[in-house]
Amino acid sequence: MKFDFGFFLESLPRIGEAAFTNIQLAIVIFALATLGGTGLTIARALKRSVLNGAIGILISFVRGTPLMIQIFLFFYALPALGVRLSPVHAGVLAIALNSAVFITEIMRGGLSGMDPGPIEAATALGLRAPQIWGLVVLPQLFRTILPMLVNEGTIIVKGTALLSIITVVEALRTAQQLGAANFRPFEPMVGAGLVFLAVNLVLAACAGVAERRYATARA
Amino acid sequence: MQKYLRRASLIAGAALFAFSAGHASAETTLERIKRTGTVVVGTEAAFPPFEFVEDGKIVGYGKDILDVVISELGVELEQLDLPWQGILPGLLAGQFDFVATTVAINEERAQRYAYTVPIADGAPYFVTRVGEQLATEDDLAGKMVGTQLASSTEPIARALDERLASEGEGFEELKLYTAFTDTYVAVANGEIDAAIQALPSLAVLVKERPDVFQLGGKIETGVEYTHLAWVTRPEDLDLRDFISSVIVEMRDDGRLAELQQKWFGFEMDIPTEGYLPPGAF
Amino acid sequence: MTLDPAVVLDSWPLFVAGTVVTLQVSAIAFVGGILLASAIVALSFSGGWIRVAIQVYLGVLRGVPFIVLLFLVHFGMPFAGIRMPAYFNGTLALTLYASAYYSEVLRATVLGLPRGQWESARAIGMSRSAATRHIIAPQMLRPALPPTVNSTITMIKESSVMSAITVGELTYQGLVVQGNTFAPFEVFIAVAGLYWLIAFVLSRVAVAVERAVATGQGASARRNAIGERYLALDARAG
Repeated sequence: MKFDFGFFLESLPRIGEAAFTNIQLAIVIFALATLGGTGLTIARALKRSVLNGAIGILISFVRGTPLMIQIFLFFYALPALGVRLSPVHAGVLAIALNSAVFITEIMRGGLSGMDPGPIEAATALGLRAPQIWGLVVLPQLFRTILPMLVNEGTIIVKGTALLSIITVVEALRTAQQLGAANFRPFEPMVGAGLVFLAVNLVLAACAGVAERRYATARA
Repeated sequence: MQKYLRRASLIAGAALFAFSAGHASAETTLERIKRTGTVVVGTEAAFPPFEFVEDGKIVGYGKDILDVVISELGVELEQLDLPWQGILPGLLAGQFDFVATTVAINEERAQRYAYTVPIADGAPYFVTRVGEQLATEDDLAGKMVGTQLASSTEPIARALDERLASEGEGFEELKLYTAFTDTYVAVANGEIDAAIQALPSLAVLVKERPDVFQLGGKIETGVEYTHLAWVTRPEDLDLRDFISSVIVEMRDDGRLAELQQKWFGFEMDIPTEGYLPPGAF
Repeated sequence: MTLDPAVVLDSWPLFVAGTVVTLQVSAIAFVGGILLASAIVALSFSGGWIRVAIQVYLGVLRGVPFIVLLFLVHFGMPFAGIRMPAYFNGTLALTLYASAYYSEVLRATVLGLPRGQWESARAIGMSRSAATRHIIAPQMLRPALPPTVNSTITMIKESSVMSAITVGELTYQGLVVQGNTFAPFEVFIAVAGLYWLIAFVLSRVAVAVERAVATGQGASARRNAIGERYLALDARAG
């Protein structure tokens, strides 16, 4: 077999266009996951046994099962419980829940290395828990875990490719459709690979800029 | 602790109530469609030429029929493109109102779903690469054979494999793909030797790419019913009958034959009786 | 909604077969991935174009979703004149993917070694292989084990994607059962449970190893009650 360079070039623009779907999905998922992860983190710090038991089970489940199965559960299995979700909604929620769990674990790591000094000072000043979280703990925490959050972002971008399996028309599915229509699956797949690589490289570059900014802000 | 348990049981109770309330309404699906002015249908748009994606839109023989049905209903169409494996369970779970994607008739499905009148006749055949010496289903002994996961051809392929194995040698392996289009790619790539699929689809595939594909033989083992139709939930027989009436009308005034010429290049007989297993809805 | 356990129980041979294949491909990818990663890390300390080539290799493997890598290997092998079954292609893709993650673990471990170990070993007259075997490797084992187990769990989970190219692993068998029974809820709960069980057993191993290796941690031990309220999270991750 020979690589059809013409077909490869022909397929690139459509796959590149479809990658904007991945980017949009990833942004929504990242926002949901960060919110969810923060919520889980605060909930865990409340130290209520029933709540923590439930969160512990959730974390164990999400970390112990493949993202693909979680997507299947949201898409194929939830309707059996009366919850009807479109492929996009099911996929976004599945990946967001998955990432929220990983983000709360990242946050746990970040918290355990944090200096308790500012918190003691805030308590001494009479600030209450919500203010301490909002004004003291979280800002410091997000700065510390920023590189790992960006890493989670690239994992989310890669995760959006799995949504092709439940027919979300993003870069990978577009490549598959082009491949199936021409019986040449490889050339558009190379295109899909390059597109994901490019998105993640851009993300990594942004992360570098953001990190330097924060570093100077802290200095 | 007790407080939590009480709260949890309250929430569970409320959820249960909401769930049962949703099912207890007296309105039929057809009445709801007409009242709300929208219908949601499930389609697997990877089944050319019946339904597939071209330039980002769902097109095909089935889509042309669907457009007529929708205009007769006088409502807005919301067409979901879903993986095949989610179509039949999704209908029962209420994700959409009916299935407008080609569903082969077989006994097992007829017990759970209500079939419309057929839209096509689709005896299963197999397709191979150009130049392969595979003429009948018996030639598939020792070969790599593929078809779609959870399709009507999956049990047929298994039955053929079993028969061939009992007579000496079965398939080398049966490969199940999520979409039929993947099986064509696999044949073209040499990953499998033959793909089993309904004749109308294969006829078009071979006509479009005679340089790649060649029609093999008919699959006889395990095949009882050959027609292809759409399905509704069994409780929605009014909706099913409405769709059937539109299809029969299109058959009688020649529109269906026109569409068959357009998408397949040949015409098929569409029966109005005898196409279903006994005891079907 | 009623759960029908019979759906799962009746199909147990398929679930067992799928679990066996999942464990097989993961085991092969584990061994192959570690070997490849060792070579990658060893080479990455050399300079010039080898270093660049390795950076490109790792960058591609980390920047591309596994499912895309899987299809690239599966559809690309025939272009190299190599026709192999999906099982082979899938396992190869997982091995390559694993090599990128294991090499990250190994590299961090190597860089974490106290400086001068290698030079000292060589200075007292140990051969290269003896220094590696007796000095470097034992010291690497302890810190490298927990992250290696974590990466391995990630690889086992990624192997589910192989269902997309018809490798008969656990997820594929789940899809087959689902197709025959129209009971996605029961099937995917069962499949998820089996993956969870595999991960659980492996993570217990990781915990046991971590305990054996634990050497006390400074910062968190000095914490007082107020800091503890915010900085320590209760829910345990299994």
